[in-house]
Amino acid sequence: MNRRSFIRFSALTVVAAIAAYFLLKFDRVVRRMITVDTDGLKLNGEAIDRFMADAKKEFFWDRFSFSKKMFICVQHFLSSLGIKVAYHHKYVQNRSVITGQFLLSTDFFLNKMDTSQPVTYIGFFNQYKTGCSNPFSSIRFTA
Amino acid sequence: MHYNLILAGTGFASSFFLKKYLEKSSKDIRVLVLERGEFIPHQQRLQDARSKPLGKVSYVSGGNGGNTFKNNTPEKSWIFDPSFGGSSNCWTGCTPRFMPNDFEMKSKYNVGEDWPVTYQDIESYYCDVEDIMSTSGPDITPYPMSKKYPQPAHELSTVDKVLQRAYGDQYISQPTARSSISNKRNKCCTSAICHLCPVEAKFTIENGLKSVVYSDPRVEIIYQAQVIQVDTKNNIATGVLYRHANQDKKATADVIALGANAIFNAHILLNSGDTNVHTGRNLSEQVGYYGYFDLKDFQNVGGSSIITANGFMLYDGAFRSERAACIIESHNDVFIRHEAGKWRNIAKFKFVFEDIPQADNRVERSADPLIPVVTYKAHSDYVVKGYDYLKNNIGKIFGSLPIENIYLDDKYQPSEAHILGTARMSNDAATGVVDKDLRHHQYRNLLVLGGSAFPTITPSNPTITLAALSLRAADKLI
Repeated sequence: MNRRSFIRFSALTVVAAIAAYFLLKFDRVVRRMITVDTDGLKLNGEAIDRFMADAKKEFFWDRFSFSKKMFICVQHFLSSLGIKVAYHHKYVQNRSVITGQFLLSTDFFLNKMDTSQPVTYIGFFNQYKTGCSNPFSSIRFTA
Repeated sequence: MHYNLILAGTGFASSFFLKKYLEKSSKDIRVLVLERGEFIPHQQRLQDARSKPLGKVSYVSGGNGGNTFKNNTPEKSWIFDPSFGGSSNCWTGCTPRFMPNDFEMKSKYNVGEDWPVTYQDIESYYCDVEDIMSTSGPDITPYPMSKKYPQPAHELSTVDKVLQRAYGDQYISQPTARSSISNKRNKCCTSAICHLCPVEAKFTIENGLKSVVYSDPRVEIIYQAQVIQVDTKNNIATGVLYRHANQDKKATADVIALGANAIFNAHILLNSGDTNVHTGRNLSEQVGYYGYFDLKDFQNVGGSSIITANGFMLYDGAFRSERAACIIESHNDVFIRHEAGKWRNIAKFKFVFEDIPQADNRVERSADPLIPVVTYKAHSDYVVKGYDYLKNNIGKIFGSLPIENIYLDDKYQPSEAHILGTARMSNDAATGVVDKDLRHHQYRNLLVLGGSAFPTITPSNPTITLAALSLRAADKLI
């Protein structure tokens, strides 16, 4: 192995290690995001565990590509240090999708976002199985 | 077997054409319909989606259109459903009409081309399509209407109401084929998965025209029969070559109508030896960007459908001589904001820009007569200028909303799920492929229906216009 090949191999190894680190961390990052975002709600202790288990069963994270997972982890890490870099808003949007999917899997929106009531996990949100379940529609709110 | 009419495809263009054709024909005619896909009932599609893990449900449940053609530029996707009913299965049901000036872009703004038909030429057909689809919409619209929408308008959201106060009839409840009342279909309840509506609120060919058109005893339909080419002799179309059950077969007819999408209509014409220089060129669609608006102490709730409103305030005016117009969609799916207490203090809009077709974006033949090759190099600078204007003025345009932050995507969506151009309408063969009645300039008994005939690409969704053109084409034919 010549010097150039060695440097290239080393760089790839470092990138792969960082990628593996963040990917292994993706589950933890998701849990952390949901925990922070739902702080102040009366959340049943098992809710996040059940959500994470169902998300795996439903292959929900297949909707997040490898690069998107990396992006979320890196942005989350920087954000937790108070650093906002380019495309931070895309991280915020993805975070909203994740926290949204969690909350939609509870009775929080059914209870009209009433923070005084306990929040119970009711099942992984799936519009194909439960039609008419948009909690912000005219069925539940008058504009 | 000889037929009066051979029709390729069962999507919007074909089905609306056939409806009018049957209405105006005698009882002893014979029609052959060749559908490349299968009939997959809506209930079966829904059952399939429900039986899968959520992450495995695909947008187009009738099959993957991507396997049916070779895409030289895969970063640009073309979405369609190659099965009975075509894209009526996966469409969202948005039915705003075009604006009158959309048909006169060259005369009014010196860009693109004029259509050989005017808004007034097809206005009555718009009304007919709206009746057939039982569309909902407001009483006041930015375009003239001789008849009200059959169903009342959907409910606006709180955000829409603010914008309607600011813009009046330039900001309206979206005209749509998603029912606002229980009538021919169930009422839309904002499930927000319109590609597979779980309550059958959306018009499809299956729930709207199948029993009327395809059960007619004059019509014979063959599934899994892909038209390869039109046979011609002395500038007359004599029949078609199609593949069914791995065999090439022929059928003849007095009239042939192609009602595939703009990729396959063009491909069939090219396979048929059509030498018109415009055939296959100008493949186009709109260019869409999402924008997200954080709202201060203001909840976005109460809308009664997935897209609650259309904004026309950037749609028409003298500026179109310089930059692309856009239609605005106010979205109402189940998005939230992740910050505690501000869960629904957010709005989501889509900005859909028109484009000027580019000749280098095109469909060509491959070595396989069933597989077209698609190349899409880029949209025009006209779109870029339209987007830049939006980006620089978005705060002002939405100034009536209590906005904390605006995030306008800088990357456009890979697809708007519309496939247009490739066999454009024109007054003569030097400037296009088909005439104002959708008849081929060279082969006068060959009609080319659908979005392939569009000479310019408007901001508005194309479906209701292509359906109106199909009704008109059949009306003029007989």
